[in-house]
Amino acid sequence: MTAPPLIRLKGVTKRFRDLVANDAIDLDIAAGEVVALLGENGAGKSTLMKLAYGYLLPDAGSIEVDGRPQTIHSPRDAMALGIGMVFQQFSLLPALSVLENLLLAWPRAGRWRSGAEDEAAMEGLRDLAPEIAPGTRVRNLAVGERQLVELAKVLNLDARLVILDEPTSVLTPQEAARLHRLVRGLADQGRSVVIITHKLADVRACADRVAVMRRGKLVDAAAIGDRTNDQLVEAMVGKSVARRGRPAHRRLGPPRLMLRDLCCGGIQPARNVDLEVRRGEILGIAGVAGNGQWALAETVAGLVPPESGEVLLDGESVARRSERKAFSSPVAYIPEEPIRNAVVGSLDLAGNLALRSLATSAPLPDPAAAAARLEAFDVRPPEPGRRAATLSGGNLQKLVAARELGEHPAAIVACYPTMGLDVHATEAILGRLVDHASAGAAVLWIGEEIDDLLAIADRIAVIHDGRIVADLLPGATNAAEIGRYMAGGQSRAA
Amino acid sequence: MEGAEFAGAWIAASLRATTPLLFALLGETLVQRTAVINLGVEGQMLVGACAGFAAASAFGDPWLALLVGGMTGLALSLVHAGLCLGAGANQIGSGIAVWMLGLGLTSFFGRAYVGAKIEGFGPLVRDADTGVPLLDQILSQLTVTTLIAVALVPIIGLWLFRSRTGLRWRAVGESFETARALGLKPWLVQVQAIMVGGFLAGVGGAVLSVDYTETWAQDMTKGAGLVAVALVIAARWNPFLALPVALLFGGSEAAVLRLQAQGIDVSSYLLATTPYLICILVVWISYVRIRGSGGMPAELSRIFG
Repeated sequence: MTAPPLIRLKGVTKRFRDLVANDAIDLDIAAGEVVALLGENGAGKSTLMKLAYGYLLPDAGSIEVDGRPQTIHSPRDAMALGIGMVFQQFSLLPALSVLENLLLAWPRAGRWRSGAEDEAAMEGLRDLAPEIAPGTRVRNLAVGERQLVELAKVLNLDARLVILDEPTSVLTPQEAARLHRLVRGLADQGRSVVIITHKLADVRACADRVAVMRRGKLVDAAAIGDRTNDQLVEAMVGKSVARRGRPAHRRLGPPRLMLRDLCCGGIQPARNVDLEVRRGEILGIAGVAGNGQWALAETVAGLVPPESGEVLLDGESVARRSERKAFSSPVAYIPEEPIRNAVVGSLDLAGNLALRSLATSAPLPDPAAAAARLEAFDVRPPEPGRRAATLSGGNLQKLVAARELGEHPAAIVACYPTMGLDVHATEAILGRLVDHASAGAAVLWIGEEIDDLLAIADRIAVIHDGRIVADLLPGATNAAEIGRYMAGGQSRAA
Repeated sequence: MEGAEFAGAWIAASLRATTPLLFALLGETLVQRTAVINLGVEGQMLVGACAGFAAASAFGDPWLALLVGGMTGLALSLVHAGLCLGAGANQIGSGIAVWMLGLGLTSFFGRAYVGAKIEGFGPLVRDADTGVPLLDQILSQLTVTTLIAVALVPIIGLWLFRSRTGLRWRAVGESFETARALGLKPWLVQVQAIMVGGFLAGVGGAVLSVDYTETWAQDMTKGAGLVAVALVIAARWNPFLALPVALLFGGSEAAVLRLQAQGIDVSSYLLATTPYLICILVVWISYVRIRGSGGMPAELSRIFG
């Protein structure tokens, strides 16, 4: 008889309104093992671990710790059971000092602060980064330094199960390597670690086992040695199943949207991107999230100026056109995570529809027109007076599409426009992209599902580590090859 | 000799005028540290003043009067907690409602006590003779409440900055999300802070009626609670800075009384606005000096967003 796992999730389910974030998930984590929880943005990885940490409560299912059923009502309960978690965001308080941030998560603290306790709480950080002074306010630290404070917090937790949510997303390769060593060190001490990530590099560097999630389901779980990177990417983004016929061939015109040696800054920069999108063409960009898509999209949409190089639309710089405030941007832009990036939750739906033309003197659409637009994009419920914040994520996504695709943009930048949508809504949005292309727009579509890209796009470029590493024609490639490029492989061999 | 006595009298008067405000200011500082703004402080001071005065006149014990005043302020503060944390009401609106509630209640129940006499705290030292005239003057005019208020400044300051619970309260004020991730319940911390703030405001009110003026009059706080809310900003949410900031207000109030007693030829109504003008000036200077909301708890700024 073997020892029970440290923690066992059985049939754990979590719903957010009509979205099933976790669908009956079973997962065991043994003592002393490092499990990589792999998946694309929005796959439900963080939600699952927040359930284990008591930050969220499951709608169904049970959790066992050391073989005994436990109800974890709050992070307090989880900490008492030896479970600690470091969140991706909201983890450090910028206004407090480094020491105070460490003390907040210091498990053995007394009622009053003492010199000895301050010393003990700082010890872990001293080993990692002796140059960070305890009294420094966190807001004055660089991003990498903050991450080190974050790590010190984990070390201090002294937990049997340490959950790290996307810990390497803002780290340089060297800092990431330091983190990987730290995780291995924790496992050597007999602790378990769950590392939530969408980066294969993290999985390879430190995991014993990998569990892959896609759209709220656990789709694969295996020892790391039993899976190739290609298999993992396929599990993350979906099997290649042709779901729809190719739309009628469109006549492609001259180049309309041109990216010339474009470099975009940011945490995940894009480098030396040269791309052309012709009139009527849909260029799909495939890639694992976090490889520079965000910087590229914002730059092409004209929201941030390029570091170098240029974006031309019909021969004119997009950045310059956007500066002429009296005109709305000629590029329609559907950003990722519309709730955070494209919707004003406290405005009603009609107000959100009008946001694009705010800078212009165009009249606001009347309620009847707004209702018709909402109807056309299947936003439910199609009530112009309803507050946007009351809509589900999928309907917000459709609302943004209704705003951006409702008129006749010359170019479209769409980032994961179908994320969180069901099959019908996905078909509808992709159909819109095709219609706009047919009407002469240049479409740049940053996609998540390879099969959708293969089915719809006229051309597929693969982005890895901020660079375009392949430019493929859907008829002459397949999901396996794209997956290899996405994973960073260079080989063209089948 | 004459100069020392005058200075001593003025210092003592300033401290006495500052004392009720200092209680309320310290309480409101703690409340705002957990990202709650409580305009009801004014109402809590009023009910504290009224109930404290009633207790003093009924039982003749000023200590009991302070306790009753504090508990009454605490009770009224629970209305604010229930409205804005329980029912999700707007904090500004809820605070004003609580203030008006306190004003109305005390106007009604306080009528019986207008003009009544009570026995307050005696001077700290009767017939002080330390050989330093200035000190003698101060000691013979101060009461124990001023001592308590001034002692509370380092106690609350150290508690906020050096205790584990104080650190947690500040964490709640900076980010509910982070606090929750650390296993704290922000609403529970906020309720505790509101109760402490209500108690201190009530004590401040009782000090005003039972100790400082030894009378009850309708709306006798004259906006001191609202001044406390404003001075929290000037003190940058720091209990240690609460003392000098409150002294500035109390000192100018004492100076005004003195000027009026000298028979200066300015309307007493205009003269009485001086402390409030100084309050505005202090808030403005601190705003300009630290560019906006330096030191403001991050979650607090969302209330105004």
